[in-house]
Amino acid sequence: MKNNREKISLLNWPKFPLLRVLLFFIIGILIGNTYNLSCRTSLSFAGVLTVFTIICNHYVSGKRLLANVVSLLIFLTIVAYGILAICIQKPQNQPLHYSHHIPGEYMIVGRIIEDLKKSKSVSTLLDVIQVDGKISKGKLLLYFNKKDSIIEYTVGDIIAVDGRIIPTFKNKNPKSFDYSRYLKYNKIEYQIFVPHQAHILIKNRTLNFPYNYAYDIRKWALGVFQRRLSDEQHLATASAMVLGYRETISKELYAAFSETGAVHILAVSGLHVGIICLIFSLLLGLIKSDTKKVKWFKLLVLLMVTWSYTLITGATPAVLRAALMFSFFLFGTFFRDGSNTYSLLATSALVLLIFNPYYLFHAGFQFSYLALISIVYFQPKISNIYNAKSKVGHKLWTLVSVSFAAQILVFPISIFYFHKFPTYFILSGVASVFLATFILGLGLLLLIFDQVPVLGDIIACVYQYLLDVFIGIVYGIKLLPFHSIDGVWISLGSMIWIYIIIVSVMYLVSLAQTKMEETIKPNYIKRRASHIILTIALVGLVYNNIIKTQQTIGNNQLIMYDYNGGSIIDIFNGKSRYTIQSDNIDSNKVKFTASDYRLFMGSNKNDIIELNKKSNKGNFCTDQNGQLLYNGAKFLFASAIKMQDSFPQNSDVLVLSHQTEILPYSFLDYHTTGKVIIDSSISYANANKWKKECNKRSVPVHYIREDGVYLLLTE
Amino acid sequence: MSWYRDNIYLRKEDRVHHVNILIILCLFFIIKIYLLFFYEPNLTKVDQGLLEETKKVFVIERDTRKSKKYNKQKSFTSSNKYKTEYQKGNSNQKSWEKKNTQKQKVKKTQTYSLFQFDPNKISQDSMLLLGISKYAASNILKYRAKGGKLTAEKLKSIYGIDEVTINRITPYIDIKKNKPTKTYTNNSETNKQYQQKKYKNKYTRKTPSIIEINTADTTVWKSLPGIGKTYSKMIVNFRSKLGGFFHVDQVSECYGIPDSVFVKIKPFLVIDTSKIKKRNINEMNSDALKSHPYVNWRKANHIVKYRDMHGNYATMNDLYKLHGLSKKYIDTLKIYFDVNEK
Repeated sequence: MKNNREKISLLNWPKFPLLRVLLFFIIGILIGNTYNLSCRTSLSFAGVLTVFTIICNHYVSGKRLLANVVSLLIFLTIVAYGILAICIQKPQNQPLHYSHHIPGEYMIVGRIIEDLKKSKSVSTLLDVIQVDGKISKGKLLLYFNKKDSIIEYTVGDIIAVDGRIIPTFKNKNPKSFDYSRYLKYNKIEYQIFVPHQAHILIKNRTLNFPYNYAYDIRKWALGVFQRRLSDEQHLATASAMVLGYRETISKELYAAFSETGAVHILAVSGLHVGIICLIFSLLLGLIKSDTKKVKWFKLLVLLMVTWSYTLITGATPAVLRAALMFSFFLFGTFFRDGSNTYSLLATSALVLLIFNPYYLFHAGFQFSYLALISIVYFQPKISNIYNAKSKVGHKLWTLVSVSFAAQILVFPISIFYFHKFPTYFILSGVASVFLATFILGLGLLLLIFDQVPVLGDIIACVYQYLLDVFIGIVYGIKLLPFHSIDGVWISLGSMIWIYIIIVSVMYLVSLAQTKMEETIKPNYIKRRASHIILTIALVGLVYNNIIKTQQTIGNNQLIMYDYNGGSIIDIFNGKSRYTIQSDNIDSNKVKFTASDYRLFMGSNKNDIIELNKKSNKGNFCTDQNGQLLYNGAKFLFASAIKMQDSFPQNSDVLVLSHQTEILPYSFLDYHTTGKVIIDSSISYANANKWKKECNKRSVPVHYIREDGVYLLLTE
Repeated sequence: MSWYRDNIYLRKEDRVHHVNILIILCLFFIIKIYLLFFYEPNLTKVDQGLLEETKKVFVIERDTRKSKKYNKQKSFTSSNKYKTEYQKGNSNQKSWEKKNTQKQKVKKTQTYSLFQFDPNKISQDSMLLLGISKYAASNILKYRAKGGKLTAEKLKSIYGIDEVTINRITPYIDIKKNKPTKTYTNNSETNKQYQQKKYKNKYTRKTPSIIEINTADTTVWKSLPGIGKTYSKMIVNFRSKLGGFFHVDQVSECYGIPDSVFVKIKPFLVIDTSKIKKRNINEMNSDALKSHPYVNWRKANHIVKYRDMHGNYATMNDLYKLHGLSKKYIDTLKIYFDVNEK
């Protein structure tokens, strides 16, 4: 009876040794991220648990209740280590972190660890060494002054700057991308705006052993590309794909790649490392002898190639991850044939997360692991559907199946992050993977034969044609109708429900049994459980969507965004949206303020309303004096007031924006309001003056820069 | 229970593997914590002298930046005022422009004539002729009116004279020693005598007794020599702001108490430090902190910002983490503040 009992394990755990450890470690990381535990408690928690478990395990033997308790204890300890891993990364827990020096102006000495980014003002990352003569640690985001036009520091320079360390700015707009959170997951929580000429070079080029060579090689290779490739787009794609140098990519090119779903080609990742590995393993395959020495030689060469390529591309997390995975893979195939891919994935993920638990929250990490899992699981099943007879057809079909399989687990998260879905992903995926192989290979050839007189020219010529074809294909796909589905908004909750649905369906399919198997080893409990989970997930998804529609379309609301270039105000009425905005607004910047919330609200129609003109739209109306009547409240926009004319004597809400700086602070003597809203386009100094004036008259103030967006809900 | 057994339960050999993983994790984190928290990398590669020099330069630049910023703000506010005035309808613009051009003209046409002079006698007009600014000239006059005697050395310390003019005029300074004139002396003597008589008639002071300065109220303070209604009030106010004295000399820190008075009263003062009231530093905002005489706004903001960022102070020793506050200063703060209400 006991032997016939159905095992209800989710997976065959002993087959995947580190998977359970990884899962519990991730739980620990999530707990540590949500609850702000102090370092001392988590450290003592982990230490005590470790010692306790080791002692318990020593004295417990046999399959008893105690053994159960001990195995639970082991996993609890792993959870504790997950918490500890994230606790020691938090700056407030690190005694040597520079953040203990704020506030105040200090001299900061540090090493530059990133290429200079040149947009409006030059910015870079600094690895802090010293603050005010005291040794400190941590990464700091550095912005140079706009007046300092020529700044030529390179990676590895030690520089001294003077200034005030401040926390990174939070994006207070609802549902929008928060750059400060992105920086936090890269271990950067503070920034510094260096005043004019308050920076100086202390020591030139202080990179350590492998990095200095990698940097030199990268610089030389970039020089070769710049000399050989005249077209800007060619140069941008080649240097991004081969060397991971992304500073030259124009916005237009990036948009074209991202809309067609080929953007992963531009960022050096596992694919590129894989292709390089493939090229070299094919070359090594020419050596036809299978002695142990040759095998070792091949392994060492491949490892060298992967890691030197990683270093040359700047050792970004994505490449690091791929290189780690490939090295595990190489070792696995070397020591034991047919190593388990899932445990490889789990092991590499665990090692990465132990080193830096914040990787878990990186979009790149999530994307690459989901894509790999889904390729490994679904690709063989999809490729079994159709059996191509010709060799070329077979190769093509595997490429198609890979790009289709990758999308199965990736599409929910890609919609969650980017709110759009490329329709022709199979086309762009096949083309980009196919061409990327050649672009990488020829790029390497070009670098090798650059100095050879005739051959170098020929390769460069062919290379230009190849790049032309690749960019042409991407732009061609962009020209096709319906090339991407835009404006899809899903919440975190519904994304999780979708994943649960996918996984449970996957599990159900894998549980299918023939009648023979059913009599020997029945699994009806598992099937029933996954049915229940599937139904729960479906109900949850529907419920989530109902709540969302209630929040959005059922609600009429007025919102003033936090945007320091001007004022943007949206009025949502059912499915239509009306916008009031100041004249010169950069449409690129609106992306990070309003567009995500507009997507969330799911409004189809939109109108731009001009103040100072009479109009009447459903639940609000405007008149020529710059007044807005919304939901029974009178809004007065100070930007529309002209001092020569007569202005309204009273209003319920007075809105101030940067165009109103002419307005005297004594304006409130002539005007009575119930509330004053100060737009974030007004500086702190001026806003404080207004606040004083308002406090004198005991009028409540809402300063959007400090208090967040102003939201007025009406049922 | 069976679910638990299938998914969580580890066989004996698996347990050994997992315990090994735990030990590896433990060692890894010990190393990592050491590297992150305690390891201080050597800075031998960097030239320390260069660092110190740049620090000096930065400190100087910081000050100039501050003054520039201040000037900018000033000019901004003045232009703002002008704007609002303009909007009121007064066409002051033209007159304002005129003034400006006149000023510029004056600056351009100014020529300096040099002659021998005595800074203790020279009039304002001739000072302007020498090239001393109007502001500095008025300062010199004020200094003289208060009875100060100017020498070539002291002229440098006058506010408003820049080094260029000093260098220009110092060779021409010619000071003649005068005998002190005796006027009004008779008058003042009679005044004093008169006042002394008056007081003698009014008061008969009690013999002072020894007092405890942390509990004494105004009437007790008044019994001391040289201390009256205002001084006693001031001292008690100062004490209440402080929260109590911890040393007798602190009485002299009270603003307005002359040293001569303090020397007189010092022998009568006794202290009981247990009467000091401690305040909770975790519950005070920057305004409340500022009101303490030993905490200026900069330090108050510093303390409050640090608290906002890192949470409440667990012990008073946490204050040592704040940079910019000296150890000695924090030791005094420890006397007046505490982390818990008492």
